[in-house]
Parts: sequence; structure tokens; C-alpha cells
Amino acid sequence: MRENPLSGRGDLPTDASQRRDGSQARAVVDQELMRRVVRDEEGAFAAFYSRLAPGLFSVVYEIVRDQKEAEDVLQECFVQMWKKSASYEPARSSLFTWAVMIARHRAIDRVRSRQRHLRVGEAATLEAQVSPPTPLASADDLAEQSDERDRLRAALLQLADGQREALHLAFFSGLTQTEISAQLGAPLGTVKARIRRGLIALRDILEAAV
Amino acid sequence: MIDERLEEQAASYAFESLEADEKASFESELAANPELAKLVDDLRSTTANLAHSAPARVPPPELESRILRAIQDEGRSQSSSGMPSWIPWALAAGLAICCGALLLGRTENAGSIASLRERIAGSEKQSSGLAAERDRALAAAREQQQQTSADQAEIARLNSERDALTRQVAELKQKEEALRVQNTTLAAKTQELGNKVTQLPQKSGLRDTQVLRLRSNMQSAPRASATVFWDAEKQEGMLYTVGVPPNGTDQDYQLWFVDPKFDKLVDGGVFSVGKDGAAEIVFHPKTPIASVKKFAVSLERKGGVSKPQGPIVLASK
Repeated sequence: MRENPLSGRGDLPTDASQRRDGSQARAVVDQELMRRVVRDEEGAFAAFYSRLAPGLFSVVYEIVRDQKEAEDVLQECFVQMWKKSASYEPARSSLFTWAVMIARHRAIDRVRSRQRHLRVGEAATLEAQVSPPTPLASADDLAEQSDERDRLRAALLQLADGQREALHLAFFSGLTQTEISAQLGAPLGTVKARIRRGLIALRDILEAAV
Repeated sequence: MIDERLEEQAASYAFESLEADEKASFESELAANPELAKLVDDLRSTTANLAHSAPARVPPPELESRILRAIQDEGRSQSSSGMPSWIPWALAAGLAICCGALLLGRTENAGSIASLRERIAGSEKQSSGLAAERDRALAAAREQQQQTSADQAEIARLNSERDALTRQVAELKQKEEALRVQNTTLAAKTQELGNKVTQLPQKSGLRDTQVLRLRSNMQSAPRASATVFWDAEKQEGMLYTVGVPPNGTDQDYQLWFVDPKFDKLVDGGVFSVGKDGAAEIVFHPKTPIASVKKFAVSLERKGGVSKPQGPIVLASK
């Protein structure tokens, strides 16, 4: 529901209440899905893949910036998640958080490994192997994720430019904080403070929105 | 109490960017400090949310089957990795025995070669007769080969049909799985709404509340419904919908009162329904209502109308 011209009170009903209902229902579904993946029930992994693959592929691609490598990393992620499915703790994090952390870790490992190769003089070869970019998702593909994306975009716009930039580099670049400091030309302490303040502010904004 | 230094380490930990020595000491602090553990969980979740800022891309369709194959291979390699250690030794011992037997046989065979040569000479005489027989056998073999080719073509056709059916079965299973997930979602929502409905009179203070159930008139959504709680004294009500199709961007749903005191329906205001089919609103009539006989919901142009013009999609009895 977008607005409520009937309501005499500003607090009822809200997008937030529906979002909360949605996230609770999603948590129930995620838990049930993981229970079935752990039991290796037929069709469970295909459903698991459909639920997570588009979001994870977007993150992995943004980090490795290469179609073929992004596909390889996504494959490694799903194999790893399948092996580790029994260790997933729903009380500690959502399925999405768990999966994104694994995917990001794998993608950054891939980038660092590539950089090691580049340092030993294979730059030209690797450059030639980089495949063309994958097309962006269509409107239909985006529909399901659009609420979360809109919510995050709105939240990020409330942060200071420096905080937003630091968070983006910390998440997607695979650079250490020292490297980020060098890239931004800012002292390491400033970079650490921007990341801390930005992340805590982002948490507070997202929580307030729910 | 968490100071700035710990907050900074928690943020770095969430990004997995703590140095090894700092990470070890932070993790021991983490194990002993539940408040810090909660902060880390929150920050990890916030960090994961940054994933939504990546431009959305879709993986190629064939990647799913490639990954499923990789997982099946992984499963097979795990289940076959436990070969007993005595097997290579047993194979080596077997080979050694075979080598010994072959060495003995070589000596005995030297004597037999001479007599065999004599027998070969005799056999050559018979070979011309056998040649004709061979030609006949070859003709029969060719005929059989043609038949075999036809059989192989038939087998290939049947295999292709079987593969198509297997794919259909896999697609149906995937659809079934999607429906099962959808059912679980709906069941969870229904449960939540049930709880809300039970608690509503106490929560909202609507004591002498009239409760009316609105049923669907829509062929496209026969299971859509709404529940209205109406407090005549306060002239205030609440409406919950379930399974109602989302309205278009140029449309609104509009609620109507049927009060015998008026000769036309009384406007209860407009509302929108999102993709999940659910809406919950508090409403007040535009004109004071004496007694409500019925409630109805129509689908109207954006902003609503003074009297119903669109179809009545939900109505109470």
C-alpha cells in the first residue's frame, strides 16, 4: 500500500508494517528451505538457487568485474553453501546475510588471486581473457528486489558523501583499509571512522525504516 | 558498554578487514561480551544489505544446471573417497603372481611351436573352402548391421523422448517447489493475520465492534477477502485485505458504507493494495453513519469518485 488517505493517524497503516510482515514470512520460508536443503530433499537446492542466485551474482560481478569469473565464483559459493548448510544459524543472521558474506569473501579472494598473477607479469594475458560485461537485469528481474534496493538507496543518500564512498570501497573493492586510505588520500584513522560511523548510521536508518 | 575502539573493530570485523592479530584478540572479546556479539551481528546484516547497491544482473540460465552438476559430482566424490588401504597392495600381489606364471609358460611353449607349424600347413589347405563360407557369413553380417543401424536410430529417438520427459518432470518439480514455498509464505501470513484479528479489539480499543467479512466478486481472485471492524460510536473502522490483486498506478480501491438512512452509498475513502495482496487501514466515513448494513469495495480511478463507477470487487452479506 503506498499511502493511506483514510487514516486519521499518521502511524497506521504503514509500508513498514507490511515490510515487517514480509520479512517475518521470508524468515520462516528461509528456515524451512534450509531445513530441506540440509536433508537433501528433492528440488530443495533448485529452490535455494532460484532464491539467492540473482542477488549473489550481482554482488560477485560487481567485485570481480568479469562474466566468466563471476560464474565460476558463483558456482564455488553454491558448492560451499551446500557443504556448509548444516552450520547455518538462523538465530544469528538471515539466509541472505549468510549467503552474501560467503559470496563476497569468495569474490574478494578471486580478485586478490588475480592481482597476484598480475604482479608476476601476466597482465597482458589476463587482460585478453577478460570477457565482455554481462547485460544488466531486466525490469521483471528487478521487480522482486526493487523494494530492498529502493530502501537501501534512500538510506545511503542520508549518509555523508565520505561515509558512502568508504562503505562502497570497503564492501566491493576488496581493498584493505590501508589501501582505501591511500586511494582516497585520507588518513587511515579518518577512513576507519568513516566506515564505523557510516555503518552504524546505515544500521539505524534501515532499522528506523522498518 | 561498547566504546568507539570496539565499535571500530566491530565494523572492520563485519567487513572481514581486521588484521590477523587484531582479529584474534577481538574474537576473544566477542566470545565474552554478548552486547558486542549483538552489535557484530547487526553490523554484518547491515554490511550484507550493501549488496543491494550493486547494479542488478542475472546469471545465465545454463549456470544453474552447471552448478547442480558440480554439487552432484561433489556428492559422488565424497561418497566414493573411502577406498580401503589394502586394495593397492592386493592388486600389486596379483600382478606379481601373473608375471611368474607367464615366465613358466614361455619355456613350455617353445616345444609346441614346431608341431603347431605342421598343423598350420594343414589348415591352409582347408582355408580356401572356408573362404567361401566366410563370404556368406560377411553378407549375413552386413544385413544384420543394417538392422542394427535401424535399431540404433530407434533407440536414439526413444532416448531423446526420454530426455524431453525428464526435463518436463524436472520443470514440474521446480514449479511444485515454487508453489510449496508460496504456500508456506501464505500460511505464515495467514497465521499472522489470524493473530492480529484475535488481538485487534483489545489493541485498538474497539470494544463494541461490528465485524464484517467482505467476500470477493472477482473471477480472477475468488479467494480474495477483507475484514472490517467498525465502531459506530467512534465512527472509526479498520480494514484488512488478503489476496486482493494490486491496483494499477492510475487506480485506487474505494470503500463504501451501505446505510439505510441514505439513498446512496457513503464514501469511506480510497486505499491501495501492494504486490502481496495485503492492506491494513484505519478509515472514517465522509458523512456520519447511523447504522451500517453492508460494506463494499469498488475499483475506481486514482483519487476515488463520489459514487461507485467501477466494479464492486468485495462486499459483505
